Amino acid sequence: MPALLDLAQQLQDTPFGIALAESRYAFPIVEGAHLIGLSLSVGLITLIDLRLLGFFLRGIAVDDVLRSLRPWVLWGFALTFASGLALFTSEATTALTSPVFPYKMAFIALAGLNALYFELRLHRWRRRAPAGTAHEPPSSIVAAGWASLGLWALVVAAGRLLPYIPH
Amino acid sequence: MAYPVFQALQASALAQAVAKSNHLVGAGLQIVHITGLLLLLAGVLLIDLRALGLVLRGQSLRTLGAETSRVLWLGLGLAAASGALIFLTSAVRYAGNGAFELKIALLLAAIGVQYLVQRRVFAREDGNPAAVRSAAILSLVLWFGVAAAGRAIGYI
Repeated sequence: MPALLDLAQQLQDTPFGIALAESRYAFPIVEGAHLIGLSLSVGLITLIDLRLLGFFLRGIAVDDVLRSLRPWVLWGFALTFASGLALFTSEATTALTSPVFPYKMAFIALAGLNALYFELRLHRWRRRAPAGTAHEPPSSIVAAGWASLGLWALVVAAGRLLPYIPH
Repeated sequence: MAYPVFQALQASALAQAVAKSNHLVGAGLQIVHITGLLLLLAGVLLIDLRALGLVLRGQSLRTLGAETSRVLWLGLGLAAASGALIFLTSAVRYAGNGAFELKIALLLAAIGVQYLVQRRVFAREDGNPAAVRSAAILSLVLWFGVAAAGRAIGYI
């Protein structure tokens, strides 16, 4: 994919990419922001999934947990994506040639599709059973909870593997 | 500087076994470490955001705190066990690293504070709101400080 690599090289050569790669403090600080974003997004999603599956906070309705935590999860994702994009910019060609990077992107895409499926099913469930009438979600929503746990774990694992798999 | 204790730890059979294994074992330990850390931080966030009145306000802090602390301590267990093995393989190098020393100091403080706060502040239904809020902020600062110091280890 030479075109993609050219694009990566151009991204890396922008003043922002160079500044981030060369600064002693900026790179670890952006990595720290990525970690804070992850604990809000993937971390709180994990807790929501554990509630869906009935392992955690069974005394609180699924809807209450979702409604209360969703804004925090979304802000967390905004921070994770923004910091992740910045990190990518500073080492775009290295990331693109890593054998793990495409897997990480694919797992993120699948986790996103799964979240979309989850929201659609949730909407349908709520139309049939208004909030408060049925406490435990149907099996399709529970299955999406399992998929979410597995896919986000794969995203985190692939991300952590990036510096360990030589290319 | 000589660190006889750390040299002995690094020379131990367990440390040698991990160090001489495939480098993917080291990567696997890092994956368990970050997974445990994210579970721990998610638990910390849920309890402290509730204590600050920012999420699940209708739920009792005592009940939520008690249930969530199980997730928090499970995450800490995973992170600490994998972290101990990662440390053993290069104990001498870690021991002289300022960020690592800060991380361990913050970690011990965070464990102590979390234990006390859960039992003495969050477990009381009639907790003083200012005390509850200060405890939540202290807990957040300490745990995210542990994570930040950990991230800095590789850059020192």
